[in-house]
Amino acid sequence: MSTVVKDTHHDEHPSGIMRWLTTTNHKDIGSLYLWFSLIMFFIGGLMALVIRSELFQPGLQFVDPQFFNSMTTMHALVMIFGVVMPAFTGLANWMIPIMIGGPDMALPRMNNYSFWIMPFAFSMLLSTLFMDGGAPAGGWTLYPPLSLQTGDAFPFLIFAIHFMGLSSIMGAINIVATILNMRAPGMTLMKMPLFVWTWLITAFLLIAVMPVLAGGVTMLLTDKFFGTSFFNAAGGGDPVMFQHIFWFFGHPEVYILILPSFGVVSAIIPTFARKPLFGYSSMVYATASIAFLSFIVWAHHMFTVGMPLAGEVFFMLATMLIAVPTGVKVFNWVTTMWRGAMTFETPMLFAIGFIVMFTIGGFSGLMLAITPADFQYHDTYFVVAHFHYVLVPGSVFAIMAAVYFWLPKWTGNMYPETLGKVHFWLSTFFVNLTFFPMHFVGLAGMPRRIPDYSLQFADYNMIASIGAFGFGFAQLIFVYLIFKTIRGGEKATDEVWEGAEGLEWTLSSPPPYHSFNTPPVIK
Amino acid sequence: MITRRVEECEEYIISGNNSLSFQGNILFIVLIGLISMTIAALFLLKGYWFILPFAGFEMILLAIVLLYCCHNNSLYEKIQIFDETVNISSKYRQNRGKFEVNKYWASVVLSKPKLKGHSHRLFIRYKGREMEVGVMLEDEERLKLARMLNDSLNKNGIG
Repeated sequence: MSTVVKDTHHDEHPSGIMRWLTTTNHKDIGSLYLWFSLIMFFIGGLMALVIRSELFQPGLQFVDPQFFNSMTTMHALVMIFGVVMPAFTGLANWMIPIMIGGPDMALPRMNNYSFWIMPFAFSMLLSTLFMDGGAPAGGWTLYPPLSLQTGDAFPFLIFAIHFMGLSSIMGAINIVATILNMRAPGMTLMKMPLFVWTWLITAFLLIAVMPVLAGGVTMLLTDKFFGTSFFNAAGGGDPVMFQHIFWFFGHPEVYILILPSFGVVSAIIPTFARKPLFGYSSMVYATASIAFLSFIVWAHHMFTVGMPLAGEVFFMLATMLIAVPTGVKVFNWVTTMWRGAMTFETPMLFAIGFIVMFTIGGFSGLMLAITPADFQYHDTYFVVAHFHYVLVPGSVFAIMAAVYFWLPKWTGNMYPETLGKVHFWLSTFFVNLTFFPMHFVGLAGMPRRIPDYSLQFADYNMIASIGAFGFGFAQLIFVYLIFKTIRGGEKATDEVWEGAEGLEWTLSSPPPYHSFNTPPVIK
Repeated sequence: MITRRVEECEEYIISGNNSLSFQGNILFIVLIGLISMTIAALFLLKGYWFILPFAGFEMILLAIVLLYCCHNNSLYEKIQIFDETVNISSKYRQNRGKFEVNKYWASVVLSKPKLKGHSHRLFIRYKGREMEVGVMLEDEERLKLARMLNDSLNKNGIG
């Protein structure tokens, strides 16, 4: 009998550029998504600063109205599809296989493809800035007939959206297959961490609504280039139907952007409160309820198009219903903190900031849900304030909280805590300085998507612009801190945080290249 | 995943980790397919038929992915060590079939990876013929299986 045993090379992998181009490792792909998202965050942020520079004072200062509208459109597309979605997909890639005790994603090769489609799609989108007729300027909602007036950029925009959608679909299907089929023995569905649950439901939403967006934008394309009249009233089509189609995708998309945040916060709060999450099952059911309700509220985005009274009442009440499961979540997070042995490290600060400011965004959402009130608020800066409160101190703060929470695990080094806290307080101060005054100018009647405005809105706009620049510069601390942590620092323990629980904390910091060679035992 | 049972014989079952049954996967495909196709059909009824092919393409992709996972989950290798014989049955891609060998003349062969970073390969060899086992395992598990098989075949001082 012959037996040859030698040391294994478990942590060896290709090096250099080929490692990143050809990698099928979930951690590498997770890192790629997160870096991509960070780069796009600064590109989208620069567009926001162009907008805020122009709005610093009344009158036209820096850019012409067409370019201003291009900036609002591109800023939204970049931030939604290029920042928040890839960041959460990156977190999912990094954490889900580890959290469920799996060796990798279910389809690693497809995982690689789904990432590398993204830079291609965004190069196509950003290239429109240099085309005849300029970048798309009809708003990220692409309402016809306005969006059909886009110049050469139009087909590039549509195909970029198709590629982003394809990437999202491949990512979502991979996540579903991983969560369903790769869990370690004993990891039943109701034992999965909330982050995994929220991603399973998010992936479900993505799979359900992405074809609606793909079909909708394809019909725009055929209307423009192939003489169809899906949305052309002159040819018997219905432009309002595009709004229905878009928001049937768009409202679940809002939850695609926020549900993983709920998972992140549900991981962080119990760790720093040193208590188990209050009401785990109710959190799962609340997430599922929000996902279900997201399919039946789309028309609250278009109350002013004129719809039957019964329709308005239905969509108003259905929208208000969302406050119930969302309230359950906020209640559970607060109750988890109640009488906990709390400490306030940076991830916890961002998580608490999330709860407070996301709730502000939720309440302004409730105000917008009231149909007669919405008739007044529609297309004003109040709406801009509302969705920025949900997406910036909501989704973006949750992503930052997640990075601070898991960065020591990813790199093996602790980040500089004081600098992290400085980043949090500056971000919190400036984010409120930017977006809170928008409530006032909105209620006073300032319309959105305009480069110039009436004199009475000048003071609040100036404050908002100062806030935006402050917020932008504060993010440089975040970048510095990430590089500093990657390069070295105090060594992180395997558990990292005293109250941390979950499979990810049983691995070394940083974890081995291949996480669980043998499935862990779940009690 | 290696499962070891000792009853009439010593038995090793090497399989993937199935955290959801085939029926569970089918149920999921049907559920999400129903939702997605209902949405697409409702838009189709209003004349907006372009959503249907995208929904259909996506459901096909989802079904392929989940059925591929199910297929992988159904693969296994079984090694039964009796007093006199060793039976190996396998259902793993190209490595299908049965192999029955005399226990006293069977040998466990662990071949070193030819390239850095690649995995070991594990064979059971008998009279110049050999069958690869532990194909679906990670390298560390494969080494563990090699040790376990080696110990089992060596129990009677032979192997």
